[in-house]
Amino acid sequence: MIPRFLLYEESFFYRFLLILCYKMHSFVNALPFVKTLRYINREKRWEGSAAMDSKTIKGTALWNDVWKMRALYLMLTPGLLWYIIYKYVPMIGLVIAFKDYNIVEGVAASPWADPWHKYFTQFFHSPYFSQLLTNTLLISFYKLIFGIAPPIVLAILIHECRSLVMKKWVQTLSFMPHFLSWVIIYGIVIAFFSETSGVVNRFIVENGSKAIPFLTSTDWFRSVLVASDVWQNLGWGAIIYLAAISSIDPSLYEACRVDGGGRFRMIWNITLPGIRSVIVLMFILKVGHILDAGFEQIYIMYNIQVYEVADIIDTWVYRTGLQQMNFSLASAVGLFKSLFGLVLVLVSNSLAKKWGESIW
Amino acid sequence: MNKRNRLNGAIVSVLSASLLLTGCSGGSGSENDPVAESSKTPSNPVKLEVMKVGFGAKLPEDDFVKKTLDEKLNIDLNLTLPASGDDFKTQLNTRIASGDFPDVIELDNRQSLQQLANMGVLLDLTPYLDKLSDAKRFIGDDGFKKGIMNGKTYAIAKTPYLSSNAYYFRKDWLDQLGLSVPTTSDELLKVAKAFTENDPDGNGVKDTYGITGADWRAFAPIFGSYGVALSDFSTYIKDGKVITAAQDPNFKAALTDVKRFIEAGVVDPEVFSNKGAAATDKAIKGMVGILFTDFGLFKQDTADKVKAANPNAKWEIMPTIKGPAGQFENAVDLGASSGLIAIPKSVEKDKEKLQKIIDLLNYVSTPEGAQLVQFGLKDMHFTLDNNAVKLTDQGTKETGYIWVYQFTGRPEREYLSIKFNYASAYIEEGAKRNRIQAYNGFIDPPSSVNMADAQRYLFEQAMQIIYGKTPLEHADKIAADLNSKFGFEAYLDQAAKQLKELGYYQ
Repeated sequence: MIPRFLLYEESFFYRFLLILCYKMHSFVNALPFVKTLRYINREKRWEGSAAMDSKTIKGTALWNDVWKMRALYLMLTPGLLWYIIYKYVPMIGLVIAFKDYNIVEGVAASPWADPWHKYFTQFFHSPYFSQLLTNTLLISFYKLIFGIAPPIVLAILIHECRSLVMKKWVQTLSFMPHFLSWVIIYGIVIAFFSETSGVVNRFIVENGSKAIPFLTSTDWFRSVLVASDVWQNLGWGAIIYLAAISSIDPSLYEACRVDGGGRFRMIWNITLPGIRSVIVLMFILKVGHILDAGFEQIYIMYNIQVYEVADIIDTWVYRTGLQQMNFSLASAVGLFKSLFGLVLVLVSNSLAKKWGESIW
Repeated sequence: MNKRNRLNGAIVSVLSASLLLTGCSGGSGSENDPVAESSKTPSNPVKLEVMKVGFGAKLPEDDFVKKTLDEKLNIDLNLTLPASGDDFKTQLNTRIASGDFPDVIELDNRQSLQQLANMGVLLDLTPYLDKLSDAKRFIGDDGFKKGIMNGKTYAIAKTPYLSSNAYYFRKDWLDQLGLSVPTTSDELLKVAKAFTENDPDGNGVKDTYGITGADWRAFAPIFGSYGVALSDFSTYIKDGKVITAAQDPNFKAALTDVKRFIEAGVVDPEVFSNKGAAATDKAIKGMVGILFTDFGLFKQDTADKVKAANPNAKWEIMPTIKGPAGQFENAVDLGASSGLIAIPKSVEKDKEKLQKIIDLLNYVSTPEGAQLVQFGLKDMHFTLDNNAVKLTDQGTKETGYIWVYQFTGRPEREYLSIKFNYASAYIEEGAKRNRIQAYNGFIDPPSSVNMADAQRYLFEQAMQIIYGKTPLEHADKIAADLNSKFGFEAYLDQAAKQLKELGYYQ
């Protein structure tokens, strides 16, 4: 039986959507663990070469290695278990993408879809398919491109700030929006950008120009989406870069100062190269989510006047798949999205490898 | 961002994992629930759980309705009230997947009924209809018709909400500008123009608009004057054919008329993006002079806000706009109900529980029970004067939540006139208005037609026409496009077939 408190507390419909669609993303999320494993591997190889000299028998070699690295494996265990239980086991549920899923009969008893690609075809043959895909990719791409630099800049600015008080305040205030729900942010956006009552438009009108329909015009809507998203995640995104900056060896800065380098020289030649691997890591992780253009945000902000530029795969799935209890369709689309994301992660990682900054 | 996603993911995975586990065991686990326990001890009150959308209603600790019902029927009645339709659906789906059914489900629309009935979750009520005589008398035969699907009665429909939708306007603005009440769309345009351009609020700034509302409904009476029903994707009968607005021969003419309003700049530019109470808020703030809404504008809390914003503001109901096809405010769905009471199949085995459910539905339909769930306790919450109900002060204060117990609905007009007696003039007037009869609530769309996509197409195309982004001639092509792109004729065929079966269409 499902514990009641889970059902009643977590009642957002979106959660349900997530359950069905996001299972495959465990591949992406597992990457940091892959990195740890890599590290163990490297250590193992080093240890292994020592072991070779003493001619250990092959069969027990693996166990010996594991035993030698037991502290690391132990630390890895809770994380691995978490991933297996909560990310990999639920992936079995993806099978409903190929079945005529009926919630009463359950996953196992539901009949197989005929043909097996029925729900994929339904999605690909929707008259809106190309528009949905274009919108999703474009919005995601804009968010990725415009969202990557601001947190880095903010992190560097905070790092370079001399006043400790100022530093703390800016950091706290800038990551606060991350904890606001999109409903509240939508309220704020309306207060500023509403065509009839928004502060910005009142200013424009009082200066004798025509009000700009930020939220109802196909020309402006995506900009509002991207800008509000960047704003929301600015401070939060900066935290990881700040952490990376603080791990840079201070002696590098001292050396630079001795050699007569100014602040900009230090940023350019020490700070940025120092956090390069984190930037690449963040980029690759985000690329994996390129088909998640932000369901909550768009669902709350869009309206029929901007469907053309704002309707994304997730909002379509919500309207046609989940609101009509067509979980198989929702699942099929989720699988498609995940595979697409996986391919992109692999491609971007191999590209990054060429520049010597891969994550595995 | 990444971290939060992962956290979300974690919550979700917990849920999904538990869903999965219970999903497999659900089939066998459904019988050994509280059902069996209660049947062992017949003298104890029978536990009943009713699940319905609560819209945020909070049951007080001292719940006199529950107490009275429990005593009268020897039951232990509990309500599960998710706050919104979406929450309700989520919870219901999860509970069905885990085999943990509530005893009575009040579904919010026909689509959910269709889905659950097709899944085989619901009990066929046909054998029990004779026992539901009180409920049948209270609701009327139509209410039972609405719950029929494939010849079986899967639900009892509550009486529908009363529609008092109409254009309401600022009488004080009209007087200020010396205009008369509009009766045709030409006059409406003139008034809307004056409201926009002639500074009706006298603040010296051009900061007002003529008309607003929530999306297409804002234009419903104009469409109605052509006999067209666009908002809500209505399906109606015209000239012996089952159609939607797209197939209506007057569709283009109606769009042409509405387009004039958009071109004149008298419509709130955010009419299609007003969400929730945004349109009403604009009316309250004095930003707009004509609003398509219902008598809710006169409910105490809203009326107070209107007065607070401007003590001189005076709202009035506008006569229905006259046009080539007559006068229609908007479409009213005959198949709509304010709720469909269904009973899960799992209850069938527990005869005692089933009997108690029937007793409950009957009791709230008797005059005595109906008064309890509508007005409260006699001589405490209301008094009877020559059979006319009058609420006491205590009644006004304490009975705000008891509507959740109206399992078989209520005589809507009478009820509202008593509850909101200060607005009864508008309720009566709104109820009298002529409306196009739509039948969406009776129709089960075939699975081959994606109704969400089709609706989007129709609304989007119509919107682009009135905003001048596509030429008017395009209106003629929409019907054909719906057929070629979305297979829409299958829906219309199905609609005609079902309405024939129900006797609405020859």
